[in-house]
Amino acid sequence: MKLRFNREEMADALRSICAVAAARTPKPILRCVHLEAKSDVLLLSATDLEVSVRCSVTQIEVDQAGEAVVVADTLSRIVSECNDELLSLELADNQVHIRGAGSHFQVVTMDAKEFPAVPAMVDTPDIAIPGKILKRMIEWTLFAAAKESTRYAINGVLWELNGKELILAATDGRRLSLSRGELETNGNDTSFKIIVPSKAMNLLARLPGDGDQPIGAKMTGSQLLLSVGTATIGTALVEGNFPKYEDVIPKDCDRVMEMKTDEFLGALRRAALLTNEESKGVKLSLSDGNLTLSSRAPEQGEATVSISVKYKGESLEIGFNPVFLTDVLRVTDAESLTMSFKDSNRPGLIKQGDAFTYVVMPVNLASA
Amino acid sequence: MDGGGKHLSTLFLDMNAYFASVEQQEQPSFRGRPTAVVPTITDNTCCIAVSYEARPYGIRTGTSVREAKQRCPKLCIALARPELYVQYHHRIVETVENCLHIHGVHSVDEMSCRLMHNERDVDTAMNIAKKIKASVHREIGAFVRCSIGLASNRFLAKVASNMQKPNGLVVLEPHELPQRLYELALDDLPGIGRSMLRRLQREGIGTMRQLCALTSDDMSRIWHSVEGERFWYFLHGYDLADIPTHRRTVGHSHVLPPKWRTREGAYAVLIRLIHKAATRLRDLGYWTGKLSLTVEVLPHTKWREWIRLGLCQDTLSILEGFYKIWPACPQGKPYCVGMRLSDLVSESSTTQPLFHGERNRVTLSHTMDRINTLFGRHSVYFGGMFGAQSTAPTRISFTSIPDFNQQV
Repeated sequence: MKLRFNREEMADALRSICAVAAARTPKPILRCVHLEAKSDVLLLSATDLEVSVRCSVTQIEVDQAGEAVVVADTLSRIVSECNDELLSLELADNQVHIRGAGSHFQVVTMDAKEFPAVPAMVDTPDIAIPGKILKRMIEWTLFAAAKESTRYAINGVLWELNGKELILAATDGRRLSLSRGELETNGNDTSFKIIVPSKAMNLLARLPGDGDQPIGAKMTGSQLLLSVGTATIGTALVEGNFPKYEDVIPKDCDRVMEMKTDEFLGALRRAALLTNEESKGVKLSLSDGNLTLSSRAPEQGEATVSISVKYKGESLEIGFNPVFLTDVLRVTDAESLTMSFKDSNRPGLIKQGDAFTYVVMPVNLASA
Repeated sequence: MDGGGKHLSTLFLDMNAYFASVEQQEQPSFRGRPTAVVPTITDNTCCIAVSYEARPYGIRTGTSVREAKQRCPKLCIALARPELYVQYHHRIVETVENCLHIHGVHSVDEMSCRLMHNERDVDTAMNIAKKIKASVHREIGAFVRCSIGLASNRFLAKVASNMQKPNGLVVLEPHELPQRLYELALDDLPGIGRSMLRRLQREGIGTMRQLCALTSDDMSRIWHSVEGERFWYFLHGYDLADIPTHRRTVGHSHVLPPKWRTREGAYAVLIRLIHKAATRLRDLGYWTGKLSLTVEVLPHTKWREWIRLGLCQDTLSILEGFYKIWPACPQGKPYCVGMRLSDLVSESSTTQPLFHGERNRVTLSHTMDRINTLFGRHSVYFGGMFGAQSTAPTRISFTSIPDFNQQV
C-alpha cells in the first residue's frame, strides 16, 4: 500500500474513527483503524464490536492499493500534529511509514486479517431524514440519556418510527427529553421502535457533513445502519424495554410561565453558585410576572435572583437541580420558552412547539 | 476562629471502657472482675472492649481472646450486645442533655458540649461536669463511668478527657498551655497515629515539647496539608469552627463463619449486608450511585468489583446491581465479604424519580423499613436473604455513631 492524502480530510475522518476505536480493551485490534486503499479512495474502519464506523478519504493519490491496521489514536495524533498539506503513507515490512516535509513516522501494524468485519450500507436505506433535522433531534435528546445505569434500556436513545414521523426519546430516570421530526422518505413504510446506544448517537451527531445531506437508516437484523454521505455507522441495538415515556408527560399543567431563554439560563447559573453537595436544589418562586430563584448552601450563604416572566396565576414554589434545567436551556435555540407546572411535587414541562418536549422532576424542597 | 480570648468553651465526655462497663452494669457477677467483650464466642477473635480490672493483666482492646485467657484465666467473657450499647447510648445522651446541650455526638461513647458564656469560668464549668457525672451515675448506673475534659476547644477537651481514666475530670486552662501537655506522648493526641508518628520522627520531633515548639507553617509542611495548620491552632488552644462534612459511603463487611464459607453462603450474606446498608442509606437520607463489592477467597485472592447504579435508594435496585456483578466473583472458598455504597447524594439534592415503577420501589423499601421497625427485624425482606437473616449481626465501631435504625 502506498498513497498520498490530504492531511485535513484525513484528520477529520480519523476523529470519527477515534470516537469508535476502543481506548481500553483487552483486544488490541479494537484500538486500531483498518485502512484500505483502492484506486480512488481510502476506506477507514473502526469498531468496538458494538458500534462501527466506515468512512472514506477521497483527496488521495494511490500508487499501490492494499490494506493495513494501525492503532487509531497514534495515527490520528500524527496526522493532527503535522502541518503539511499532503502526507504520504506506505506499508513496508509490517510498518506504516508516514512522511511529511522533514517528518518520518514508522508505526507498527497489526494483522489486517484479524480485523473484525465492519458493515457497509450496501442497499438503499429504508428511510432518509434531513441531516440538519436529525442532528438537531439528537442534540435535543442525547444529553438526557442515562450514563452507565444498571437499567441498560435507558443508556440509549429510543427511536420510534411511525409513518413519516420519527420520535427520539431519552431519559435518565429523572427527566425525559423528546423530539419529533419528519422523514424525507420512508420507502417501505417501515416502522420500528428501537434503542440506539448513546455512543452511536454521539458519533452520528459529530460526523462531519453538510447539514442538508440526508441521513439514511436501515435495519439489518439486530443492527441499525446509518449513512451520512460516504460514511456508514453500524450499531448493535440496546436490548430491553424503554420506559413508557408517554405516561410521564404531564397533561394537566395549568401554571404556565413564559420566559426569555437567555435570562432564565443566566439567572439559573447565578443562583446555582450557592449550592453544594448537601443542597443542590434551586428554588423557583413564581408569582404574577416574576420568577425568583433562590439557593442556600449551609455554611456558605444564600443567593436570590429575580427575573421578569410572563405568568399570571397562583404562586408556586418548586425546586430543581439546576443542572437539569441548564442542560436543556443550552440545547434549545428558541428565544423564549414556556415552562408549565401543576404542583411543587409534580414534574415541570418545557416545550418548544411540538418538536421538543422536556419533562423534569423536582427536588424535594421539604427535605432541604 | 475565636482566638482573641482563649477560654474554656468545650466539655468533652468519654465513657470509660464503654461496652465492658455496660456489661458489668447489666451482669452483677462481672462487677469488680476482669471482663472482656468479644464479638463471637471463640478463642480465635480479639477483645473489643476490656474493663479496667483486666488491664493490669496486660489485656487491651485488640488482644486475642486466647492470649487474654492465658494472661487471666478468671477473665469474664461477655458476648457483645450492640443493641444494648445503643440503648445505653441513647439513655446517656438524654441524661447529659438534661444537664447541658450536646453539641455533637462523635461515637457511641463520645460526645461534646459547648459552654455558654456564663459557664466558662473554671468553677462553673467544673460544677457542670460534676453534675453530669452524678447524673450518669444516678440515671445510668454506678458501673458506667465517664471521664470529662474541659478546654478551650474540642480537640484539647478530648485530650483532657483521656488524661485521667477512669472516672476523671481534667481541666486544661488556656494559661496552662502548652506546658500541661508536655507530660503526654505524641500519640496521645487525636490525629497522631503510627504513620504520622513516623513522619514526625523523620523531622526529629519525638516529644510533645518539640511538637508544641513548631510553627503553624512547620506543621502544614509536615502534615502535607492545611490540616497541619489546623492542628497547630487546636494544640495552642484556638477554637476553630468545624468543617462541614459530607458522608461519602455506607457499607458493611463480614468475616464469614465457617459454615457460610461457600459461594452460596457468601452470596446470601452479601444480600443481607445490602439490605442492612440500604436501610441505613434511607435512614440517613441519602441516595447512592455506585455499589462496590469485595470478596476475599481463600487462600489469597481478593476480588473487587463495582457497578454504577444510576441514582437509587431502594433495596431492589441495589440488589439488581449486585446480581449483575456477582457472577464474576471467582470460585473458591470465600472468607470475608464486604459491600459499599458510594457516590452518595443527600435527599435534599436528589431529583425525584420520574417513572412510577421506580417511585413504587422507593415506596416499597420505605414501607418495608416501617414494617421492620414496628414488628421487629426481618419481618419482611427480599427472598435472596432467606436463611442468612441472623448472619452479620450489627456491630458498633468505636468511631461510628449509632445513627441507624437497628431493625435490619
